Amino acid sequence: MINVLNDVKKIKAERLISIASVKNDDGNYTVYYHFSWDKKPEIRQFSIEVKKGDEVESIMELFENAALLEGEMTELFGIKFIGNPYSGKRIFLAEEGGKKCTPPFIQ
Amino acid sequence: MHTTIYPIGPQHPSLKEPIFIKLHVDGSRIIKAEFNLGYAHRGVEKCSEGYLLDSALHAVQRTCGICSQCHSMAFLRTVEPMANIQPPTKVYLQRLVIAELERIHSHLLWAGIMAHEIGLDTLFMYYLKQREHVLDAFDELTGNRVHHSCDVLGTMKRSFGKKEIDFLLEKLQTIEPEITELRRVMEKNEVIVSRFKKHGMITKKLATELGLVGPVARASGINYDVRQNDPYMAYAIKELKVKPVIRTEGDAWARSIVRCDEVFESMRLIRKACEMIDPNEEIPKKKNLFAKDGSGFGRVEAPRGENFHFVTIKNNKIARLKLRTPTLANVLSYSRILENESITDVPVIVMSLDPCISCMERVAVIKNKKEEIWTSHELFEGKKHD
Repeated sequence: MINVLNDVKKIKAERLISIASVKNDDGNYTVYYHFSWDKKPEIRQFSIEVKKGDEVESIMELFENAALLEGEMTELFGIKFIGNPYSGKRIFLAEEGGKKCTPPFIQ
Repeated sequence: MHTTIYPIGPQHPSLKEPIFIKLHVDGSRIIKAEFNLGYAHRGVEKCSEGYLLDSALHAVQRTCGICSQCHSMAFLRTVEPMANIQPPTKVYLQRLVIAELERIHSHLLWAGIMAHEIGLDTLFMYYLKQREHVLDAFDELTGNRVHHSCDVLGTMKRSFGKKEIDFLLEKLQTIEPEITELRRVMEKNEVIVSRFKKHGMITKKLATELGLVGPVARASGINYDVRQNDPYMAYAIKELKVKPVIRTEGDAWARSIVRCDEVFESMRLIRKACEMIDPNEEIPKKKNLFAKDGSGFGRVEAPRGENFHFVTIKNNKIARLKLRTPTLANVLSYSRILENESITDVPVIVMSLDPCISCMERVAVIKNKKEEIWTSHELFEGKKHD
């Protein structure tokens, strides 16, 4: 499991804007976290490299709105987030014949 | 205690877009609320992959039917620095005018639907009548009433001349007294006040915990508006500084008043911007642009709150596009604020958050009559639905 919680705590951000993943040429992923503050005109980007099959620590403990953002990453890219009840659940994509479809962005 | 499950949706008379809300009720009191998404997923993110920036902009603008300009502005705010281009001030001012008109149109539509939800259908008609004037202004300025599609990289498709600006100012003149009266109704009418006040309470603490954005957060006392906190394009001009509308009550009524007051703030910004636009100035023609490889991000204030785009470019084409729309940021609050409310107040509370489901889900399988699935190529080539 990749630990991110401590690094994210150091940023001392007030808001989590978004979590996005990008598939790299070597088949691994980069997960980007974007944070902001209510008063500062700044967005801080924090990224981690995730190998295929790696699991990532959820940051729901710090930011509750990570729930759906991380869940979406699991659904689209197959990256599992430990400690997030939405990770692995169906959120946006339709089920086909009662089965979850393959994450579309890893095809 | 015996609880019953009461399903609302995905198709329901009180919902304007498909979402499934599962309520656990004891009598008419809600014990627990769960929501289920994914009925309007359209694949804008996946569709845009592998396309040039101009083509991707075409798809991005169609993410939402209500706030299409905000999506194109967020995308342009992200990719224009990557393509190393700085549009002239007139282009920025024109974009501001369209974005603020869109805010007026979005808030009027919302206010109308909100009145419809509590049975005040006459008020709904009054709001929609005013919205029609705004759509006429869009028609005059951009040539389109709903999906404006007026932005291109580095410039805009049309330059506003004297005729267009006069038409717009005349329309604003027409709607202002009417909207002032409608705001008074929203504030004072006994039916509205009794249905909205103290319902759907969101405290400042809860709003901070869930990271809520837009008028929902501002009605709970959080001073967070991207136009003010992180000014972009024409909002960075001193005269066009935004004064956010803040209220502290945190209920459905406060959210309504925040939206009503934002309409007046938008009108002020449009008038100011129209003064600054030079009708005789020409805007640059469209050029083919090349963007550097890499990733970028940008955000704008859409009518519903902060709209964030993350773009990765490879070989001048989109490699990955991620949209974080304001409704996605606000959707987690549904289950929290519906608890302990009465089942009759569900439409009012859900509508007071101004949900835009298709904006939130961003990806559907588009089928024609023969039940064939459209490929993204056909979508971009503009094959008509026959």
